[in-house]
Amino acid sequence: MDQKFIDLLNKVNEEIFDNPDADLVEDGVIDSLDIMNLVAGLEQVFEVDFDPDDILPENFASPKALWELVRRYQAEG
Amino acid sequence: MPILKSVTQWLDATAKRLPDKIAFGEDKAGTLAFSQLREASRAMGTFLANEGINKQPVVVALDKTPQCVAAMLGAAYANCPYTPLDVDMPLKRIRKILDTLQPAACITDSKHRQLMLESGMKEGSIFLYKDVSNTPIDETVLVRVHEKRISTDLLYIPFTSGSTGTPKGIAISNGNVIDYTIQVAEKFGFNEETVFGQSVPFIFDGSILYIYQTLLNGCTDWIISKVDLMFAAKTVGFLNRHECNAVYMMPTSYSIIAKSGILKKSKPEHLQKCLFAGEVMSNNVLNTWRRALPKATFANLFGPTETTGTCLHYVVDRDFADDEPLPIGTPYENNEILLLSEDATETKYGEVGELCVRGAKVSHGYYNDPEKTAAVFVQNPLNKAYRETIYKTGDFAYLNERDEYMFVGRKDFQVKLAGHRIELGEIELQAMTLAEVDLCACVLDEAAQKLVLFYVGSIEKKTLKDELKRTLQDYMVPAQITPIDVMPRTGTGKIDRAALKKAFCYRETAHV
Repeated sequence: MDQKFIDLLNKVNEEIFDNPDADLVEDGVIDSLDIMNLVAGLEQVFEVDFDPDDILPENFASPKALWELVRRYQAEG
Repeated sequence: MPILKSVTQWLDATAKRLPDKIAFGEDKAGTLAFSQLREASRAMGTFLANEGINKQPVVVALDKTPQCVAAMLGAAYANCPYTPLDVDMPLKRIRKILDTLQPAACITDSKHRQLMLESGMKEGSIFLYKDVSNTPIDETVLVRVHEKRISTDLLYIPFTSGSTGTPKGIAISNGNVIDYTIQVAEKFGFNEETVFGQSVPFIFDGSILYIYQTLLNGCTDWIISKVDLMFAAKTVGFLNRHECNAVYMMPTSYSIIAKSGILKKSKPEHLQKCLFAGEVMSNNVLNTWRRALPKATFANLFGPTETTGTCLHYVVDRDFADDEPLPIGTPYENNEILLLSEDATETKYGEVGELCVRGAKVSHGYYNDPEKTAAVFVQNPLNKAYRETIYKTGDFAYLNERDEYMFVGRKDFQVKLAGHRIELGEIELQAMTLAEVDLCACVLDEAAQKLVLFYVGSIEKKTLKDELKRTLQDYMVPAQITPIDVMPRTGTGKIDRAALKKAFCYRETAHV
């Protein structure tokens, strides 16, 4: 996981990395504003465009899941 | 014509007319048709009445489901005011609510039974929905309750934030809700064809629009889950799946959907009526929605819980630039707005004054709190002839040239964030209860839309945050906690909040 990615997540919500077993969405760690800020931040930092159809609970459930999505966008170019 | 004294009469009439139509539905919890809803609530009404519980508060601690509505109406059939509880609330807050309310009973589920015990409810007063909703209905008992009830008897007691740290319970009667519901139905034309997509939880007063429009008109209300609401694609999918044609959401919900970009790909095809209230709507967001749904009606509603529901409405009927403030509009029929100046006289036309409300939906004050009630539910100063109570909202407004009310700001340190009313004082109070916090000040960083707490003290900011999480509602825990060396003061020695915002908030948002 890219350090820039980790830094951005921490900046949006400093609890994201607190519990590695937590489902960020179902357990209420992140809220809707966090999701908005994450998408905006990631789009800016990694120069990708999020497809609104990808903004789903499963892609935000963990830092790993979110990172995989960013990597997919980067690969698609 | 029978006298209309209780909202339950609407359910009786609608269940007779449309017994098998879905009243409330939720994807996981299932549906309740009007006849099923009536049966379940009358069962619970019977139960409560047989327990001897009458005109005493009943707490409902259930997930956001049709069953929750049935439990609330169960209390209503027993002529007991209900208080919905958010099961995710911190224990300390629930305890404070129960302390003020002194409820006679609690209807909950096995998941939350332990929580209610820990909150102070006696074991014998906690009832499980699955048990009480099967109580054999006793017509005689229910008829007797109905014969004796009157329209000013309380229907529900919602709690809001309080600046001294104690949440306030607003005493709202059947008569208040009947008045409000009819006004809204008349203004927006809700009817049997209306299909709602309910976003707000039951602890928000906005939910009474969904519930009682449904009972009055025979609408269907589909309840959106918390998780679905966090994801624009899921929310829009939900609204399309259930063919929802009306929503009443906070601007934040509209914003999430607008900013996700999903409206360019998939829109809520069936939406005709889009109402919003609870916070200031960004015109940018509004315009995105208006472009996506050019035929839909958009309306800004305004009004505090103390007046049951909103008092003012503005149907968007022209274009607005991004920085042009949206009017809060004009009063519903059967409501009067007074703008009062400092000396309790009416302001001149166009002048800013405190927004006060006169009418049948002004509620009956704060439950078990005569002092706070007397402060804001006051005799109409313009009326010297007879007793008339008005509610002073603490909001300031003026009338523009089109005779539309325009919101200016709040009187005190109450702010709105994501639709929640937050007393900054309550947050500061909680922080100050800790010995290691010497001074603190909480501000709202409007640009970043977050609460920032500044403090002088020896405590670690993480420890302080953890403490606040224990005692405050999650939306009230400041997103940012900043220790400072010296608290800036104004000329009169007060904490200079403006200086704090200027020095620290700007710096933080510069990076985002």
